[in-house]
Amino acid sequence: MNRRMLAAWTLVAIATLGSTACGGSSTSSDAFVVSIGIGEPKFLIPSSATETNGHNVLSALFTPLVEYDDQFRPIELAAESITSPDNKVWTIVLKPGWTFHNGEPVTSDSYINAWNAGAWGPNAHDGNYFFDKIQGYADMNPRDARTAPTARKLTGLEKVDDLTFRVTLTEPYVNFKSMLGYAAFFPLPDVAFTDVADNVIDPRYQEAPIGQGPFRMKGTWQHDQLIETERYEDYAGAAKPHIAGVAYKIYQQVPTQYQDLLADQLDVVPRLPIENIGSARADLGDRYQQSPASVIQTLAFPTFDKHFADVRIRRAISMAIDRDEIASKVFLDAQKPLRSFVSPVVPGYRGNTCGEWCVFDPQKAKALFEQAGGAKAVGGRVEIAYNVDGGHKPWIDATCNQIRANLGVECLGNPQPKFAEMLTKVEKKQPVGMFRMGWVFDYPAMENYLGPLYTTYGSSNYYGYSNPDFDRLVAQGDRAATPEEATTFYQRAEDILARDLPMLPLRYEPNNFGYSTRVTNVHLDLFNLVDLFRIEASAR
Amino acid sequence: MSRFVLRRLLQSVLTFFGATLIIYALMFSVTTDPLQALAGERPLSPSQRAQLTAQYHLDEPFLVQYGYYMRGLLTGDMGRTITGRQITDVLAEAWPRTLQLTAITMLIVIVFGVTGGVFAGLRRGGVFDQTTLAITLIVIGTPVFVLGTVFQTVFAVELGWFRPSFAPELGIATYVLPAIVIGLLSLATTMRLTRTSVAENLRADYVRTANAKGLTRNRVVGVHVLRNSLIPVITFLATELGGLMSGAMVTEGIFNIPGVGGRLFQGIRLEDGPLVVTIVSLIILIYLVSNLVVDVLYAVLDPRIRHE
Repeated sequence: MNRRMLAAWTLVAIATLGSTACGGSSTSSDAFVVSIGIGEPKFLIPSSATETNGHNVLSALFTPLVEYDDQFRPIELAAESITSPDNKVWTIVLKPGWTFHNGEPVTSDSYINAWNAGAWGPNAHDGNYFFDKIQGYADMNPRDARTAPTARKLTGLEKVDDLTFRVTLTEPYVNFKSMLGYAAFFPLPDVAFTDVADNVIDPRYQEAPIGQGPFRMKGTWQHDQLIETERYEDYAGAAKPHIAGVAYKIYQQVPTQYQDLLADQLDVVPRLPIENIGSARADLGDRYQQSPASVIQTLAFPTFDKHFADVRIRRAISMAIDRDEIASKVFLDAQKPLRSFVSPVVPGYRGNTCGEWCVFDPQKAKALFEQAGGAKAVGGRVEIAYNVDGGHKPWIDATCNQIRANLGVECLGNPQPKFAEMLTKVEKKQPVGMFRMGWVFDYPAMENYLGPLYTTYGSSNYYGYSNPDFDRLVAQGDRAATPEEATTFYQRAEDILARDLPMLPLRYEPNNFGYSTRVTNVHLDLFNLVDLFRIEASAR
Repeated sequence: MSRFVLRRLLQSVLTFFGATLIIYALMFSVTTDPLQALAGERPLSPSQRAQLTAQYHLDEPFLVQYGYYMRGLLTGDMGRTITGRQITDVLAEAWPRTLQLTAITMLIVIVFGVTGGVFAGLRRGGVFDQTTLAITLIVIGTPVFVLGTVFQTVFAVELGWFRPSFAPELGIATYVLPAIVIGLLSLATTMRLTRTSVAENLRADYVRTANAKGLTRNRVVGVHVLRNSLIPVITFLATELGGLMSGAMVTEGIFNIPGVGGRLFQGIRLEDGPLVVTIVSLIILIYLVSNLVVDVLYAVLDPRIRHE
């Protein structure tokens, strides 16, 4: 009996010693994998990854040409230098010594081939529009799918040597360097292609993408379940990650991510669902955090709807909305009130450019509303269209309640099944009332809000706003010599929006993220991506 | 019997094609712009829109689109999802998970539902009977998403007995909690049905005869009563299979099981016609087969029923 006990105790002692020895060798966080919750990516090809899930995974596998400093200005990362004398012809010099995860060296061809494939119309990549400023884009993208493109390559891409290439734009564009931080501009190795000349990407490539970033794929994309990565030991970047790998756990619903976080089965929830924000402060304490991000939420007035043609009506509605109350009561401060037409995370942002029209003032609102004809002028009632699949009902209802109470006019939410359906109605000029919109930037520049949302031919100007002066100022900004000069034009353009009020800025949305007890130093960037170079982990 | 089965199979083929057409038509009528649905709130470049429209035949009339779909289906090519994955691959991954989940659910329902029902039936009005009546009533009245979230919070997050989400490394065990959630709803009905049926049969003439012949109680209940009492229960369970699968849709979402429910939900959200129609058609197929099996089982259970 005694002998057996002795044996047992020895075993325990050995086990303890063993585990301390193990612990000793891995006190640094280098040995641990961090898990991050995402949804199922649509694609894992860089030029097709325009949604957060795919972008998340690719951000581990690739390193962009530029990153952004705390003033949101681009600084070289994988590039040695990005310069242009005239903002039209850009010379990109790559840092030497970078390799893809399969050992293939990263050259200017890696970029040129990838960008050509992204710009090639028949590939129909989601990020296709990123290349539309480069010379030769139009010839590769006929508007009718039945006509073949007349060119296979962007004429604006020109290889100088293995580490240098030139990009010629159709027009000078001051923010081009800022654009290059996005996933669409990642390079591709030769193995990604079945036919480089014809821009054909191997469909199997995205099952295990090969990049030049700090982590490489471990196995393949396990659809709807998991994407595992491990540290790439030959990574050429100056900064090195402090973790052994990242496991992207794929979720169908965000609330499940939160449950897993509470049960310590998941390390980072990059986007806490609004229904959990209330309890997150109690459940997570300091592990619930916010950081700046680019999403803005707005209400647009369709120009074809005569009820909103009078600017006094638009101003009255704007002043009748108490942005602060909705941000704090409905969103529990997960979103913040916005009184400018661009988000706070771009250079050139000024607070409160909307001025008095975005200040909550029910008396003035009511007076102005009556002066403009009152309820009769808007056809008896105000409607706000929204898509029901995005959780927008609570704040739309709250907004309507404020409009009803402060303007004395009936206000109704106009639920639409999906955003796409709402857009179809707006495009057919059906009276849906005002409608909600959201915007996430592609790169930190004022233009990335002003151009697509408010210029006459902007890609997301669904509501038909058109002001030649505004268009001219934005174009002048784009062609400006320096970013600083561009900003002055953009700001003047933004001032026009404050006068015309084609759209009401309501709120901006910071990152709301939570993390487990075993990770520290968690930071999220403007794109809602976890900073994989700073995050540290410990044993579970 | 074989003629009966054959006739039913032929009917099933017709039902299958009819149902597929109807679902395709329904899907077509609610589809506004799948490409925009895929792009979310981002703009699509005009050339990209043109390309994808041609690729997925989105500008063709309904019957032509349906024709493409059916031609693919009959040649064994189910087509691609709107994100370009082979639907065959998607389903090959998803179906085994949903089937495992459904099988475990069924097992739970049968084992606990029938056993509980028999006990309640044997001691009608007893404490066990009364308690289960109260509990099952509460459960039947609870929506499955509430039940799912509550169970997840209590048993996985708070008590730590299970994982809150799908963990393939745990094998079959990962399905237990979601299966209990889905099963509870059918469990309640199964228990009630078995109880009534057993209680009724206990008073039947043949049971009195069996008792009079001096058979043991175990044999009377286990063989004679149970066999006859199971007929309504089996009918219910077969139709309930469809219910379980729709319950699985919600529950799979809550517990993050990458099964058919999740794919169906995704397909509906992205207006992915071919994916939705394929999945729903397969569910119909399962429904048809399980109904056929039940009809055959009738004859086995009750010698008085003959399929001519």
